[in-house]
Amino acid sequence: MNKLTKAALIGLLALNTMSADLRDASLKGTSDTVNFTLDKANSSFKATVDAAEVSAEKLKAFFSKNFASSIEASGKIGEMVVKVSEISEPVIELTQDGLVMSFEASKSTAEKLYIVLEPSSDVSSEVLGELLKHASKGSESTSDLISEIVDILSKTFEKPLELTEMTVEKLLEVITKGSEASTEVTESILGEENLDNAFELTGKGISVTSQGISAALYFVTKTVSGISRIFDVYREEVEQAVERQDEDMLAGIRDMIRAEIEKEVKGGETLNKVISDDALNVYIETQLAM
Amino acid sequence: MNKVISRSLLILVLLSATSFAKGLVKLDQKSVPQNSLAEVQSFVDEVNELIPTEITSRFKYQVKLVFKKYKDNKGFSELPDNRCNSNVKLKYAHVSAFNKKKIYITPLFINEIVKGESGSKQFPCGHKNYYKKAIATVLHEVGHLYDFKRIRSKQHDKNVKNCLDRNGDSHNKSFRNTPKCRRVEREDRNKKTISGLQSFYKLSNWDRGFFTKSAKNLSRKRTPDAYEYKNLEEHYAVNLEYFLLDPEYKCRRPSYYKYYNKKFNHVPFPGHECKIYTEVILDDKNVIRDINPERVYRVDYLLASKGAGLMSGFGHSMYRIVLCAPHRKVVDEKCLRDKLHHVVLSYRANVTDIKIDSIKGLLGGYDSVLFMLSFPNVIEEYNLGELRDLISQPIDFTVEQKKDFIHKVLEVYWEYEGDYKFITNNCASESHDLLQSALNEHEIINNSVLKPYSVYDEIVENKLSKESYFKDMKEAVAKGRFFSSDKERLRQAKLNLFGEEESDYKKVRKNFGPQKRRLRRFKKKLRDIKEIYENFDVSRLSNKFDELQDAQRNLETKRNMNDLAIMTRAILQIRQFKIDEEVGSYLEENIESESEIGLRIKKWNDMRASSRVKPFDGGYGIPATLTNNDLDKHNSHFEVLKDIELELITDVKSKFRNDVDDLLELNNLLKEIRKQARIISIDTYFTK
Repeated sequence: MNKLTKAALIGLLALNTMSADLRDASLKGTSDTVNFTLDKANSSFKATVDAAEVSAEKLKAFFSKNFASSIEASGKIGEMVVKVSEISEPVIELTQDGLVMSFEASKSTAEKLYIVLEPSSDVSSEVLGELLKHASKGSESTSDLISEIVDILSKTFEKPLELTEMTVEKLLEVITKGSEASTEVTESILGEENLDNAFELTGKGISVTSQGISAALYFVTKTVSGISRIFDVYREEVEQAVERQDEDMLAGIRDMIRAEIEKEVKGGETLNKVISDDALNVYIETQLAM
Repeated sequence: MNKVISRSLLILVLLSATSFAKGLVKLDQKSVPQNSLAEVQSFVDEVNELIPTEITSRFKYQVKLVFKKYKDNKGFSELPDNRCNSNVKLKYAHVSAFNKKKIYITPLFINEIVKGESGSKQFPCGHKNYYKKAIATVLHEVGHLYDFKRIRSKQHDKNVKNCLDRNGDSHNKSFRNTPKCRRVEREDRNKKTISGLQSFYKLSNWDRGFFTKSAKNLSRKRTPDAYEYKNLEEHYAVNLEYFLLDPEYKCRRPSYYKYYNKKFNHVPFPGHECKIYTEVILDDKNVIRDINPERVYRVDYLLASKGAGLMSGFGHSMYRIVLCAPHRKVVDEKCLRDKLHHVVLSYRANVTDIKIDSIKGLLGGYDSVLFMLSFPNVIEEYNLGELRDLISQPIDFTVEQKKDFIHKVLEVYWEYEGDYKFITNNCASESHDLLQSALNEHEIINNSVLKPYSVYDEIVENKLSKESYFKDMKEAVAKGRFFSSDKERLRQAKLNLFGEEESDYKKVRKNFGPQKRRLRRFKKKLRDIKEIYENFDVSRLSNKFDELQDAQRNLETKRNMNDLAIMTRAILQIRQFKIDEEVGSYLEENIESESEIGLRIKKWNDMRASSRVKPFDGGYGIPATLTNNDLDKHNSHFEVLKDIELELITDVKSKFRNDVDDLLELNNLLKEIRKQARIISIDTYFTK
């Protein structure tokens, strides 16, 4: 799996009130790309502080809790997927093009939006950048954006998404709404201007596969309450299973997680097919490390 | 001539049938005041309707119901308002083995019978009102009369024939000396239809003394009527009352219901459905488990191998319920993976002293309680804590046997508290009795055992399991039938991280003959792993942790970090146990003191001794359900207990500051090691 997957996972976990210790420790010794991203994040962080003229301490606290890792490019798409998920629960399907998360754009017209997490291709930073930029601002001309996105997608995907004008429009609408909804609280701390600045930061070279799965797992963590209960109630037992390499018990724990995914996530069955046992084991370990 | 005899017989049969058309019980009208006669007759008719045909058909005569004043009831002009007050002693009825045609009953019932069920005095226990209690009383006595008849099945006669010693005296039956034949002999000599059967004795889980049998259950908290524990005959008769009168009996005491249903070939409430409440709260984890038999894949006999201590020297008997996780749609072998959900049933002495009193453990004084434990905790307790193996022997129950077993477990869970005695009423005998009680018609009821390994043998010998399950130990481990102690794991972890060291060995004197005694020679002997861990310098763990943190993040470091976590966990547990001992002594010394600490210890000790959930339903046996109120009370009990524990911890901390600080430090180290182990694991996964 791509090295950057880790960054993606860590970034996503950071959003999930992950302890700074783990994040920092995990980032130690990762690829240059991530270090580059971190540097970039740091300089932007300083700029943000200057611009904001708010309490540096407050901002720093907010940053470390919510943004420090998500500023890494790898966390962004996951974040956006989650934001969309918060207002429109996706149905996850496995197609020949890859893992598709489809969102219901409008209940009345039954229109759907699709995000394809294609297993073999890489998406250039531009895709993310553009998506995120427009998603966070939500003020660009739609037609320009569509052509821009379709253009980029056609370059990056061997079998690009089947995006119509309508679905892209709706996608942006939903993403914008999701973004607004989920950042309501943070805006009150950081201010709209700074929030936009923060959103503009993007990274490079993201693997869609790892990112998709990480995003999906993050989505799972947030959405499926049963999973956090497993780790609340059975933390020591799970810890022991990992330590003792009790394969049977770990298989049982994975089955429990998969069952929760299937129960709580529309299309969870498909999502389960995409997430390998190894990925789930790592997911279990990250949960324990939090 | 033959025709004449046949005709006479036919007339007799018809006459007999005519007389029984009015029922088995006939009212002695002279004993009832004229103005109450109609109501009492109607009452008798109602009773007759309730008597199973199996009983009625065994009587060739009608039984007279006579209302008779008892001297014992002299002070009573009417029945007391609250029957639930156990201090009020009243005689309700009786029958005599010498006159099996009469039932005597107190006339105090007449007023209540006349008032009818809704008008009679109500009370919140037993049959809930005196009208029903009157019916139950007559049925109870009918039950005794049936019991007096000493009816035996054809199978019994066959068994007797097979068991008789061919060389024995034809007048004085001599039985062969096998467990089964001894049982058949006992049944043959007993004069009671039901209460004299080994199956009933086992179903009830009673104890055989020198002269009489006595109830092993000492708890009266969830009995419908404490009188059922007077003797086995009364136990049978009281349960017959509830079988015939309480539609909920089927779900409150399912094992008894099944037994009576079979023996009397009778369904008292056709069409009535109730659901057996199958949820239990684990004693070690305070989480709910639904042990619905339909969700149980398998039941294993779980045997902890012999330990080093006196009390553990014979092993420990338990059962493991392989319960499927709630998400499983199919109950199959995949449920073996759901260890988090497996429930361990373990009979233990409910130690109510701060520290266990060996004399009480040996001779009695602690309640023997069926604890429900979480399987991972049991693995940790035995494999790691006591370095003992766990043998999980699958019991090849049929679907029905599995259901019977679970139902019996539930009855025991809610109702039973025995007297734990290390020699005579221990984990093995209790576990064996539980199995016998559930499978009371199975061959396994013939023997008694006292040792955990004997239970294992009994299960195999009675074809409830196979020895072949453990023929190939590798397979046994792979299939979750054998959980080896952590001895080897701990040894490997130590070896991997610190290598072999001089301190791992001790010097023992070589055994020379008398002529060479002067030559004092010693040889090196590897210390027991527990000893090595007990003496391990904790600072070396921290140093190793620092070293590993600086090491390259790869699979090897991951493995080392994991080994370090295993070592630290084991040492933490050893230290914890050592401090527990000292803290136990401190608490014990202070429990009688009138000081604040003393009162706190006493309160804590009282509360922890009764921390199982209590249903406040006024019912008996398995509750119909646990209400939110029951659970709230249980939870608030736990909250209070937790608060007291926190206060006690503060007390203990101030007393054992250094020890506690060391423990906390070790615990923090373990947390750090674990966290780093996980991070390295994530790291290696994504960089591979």
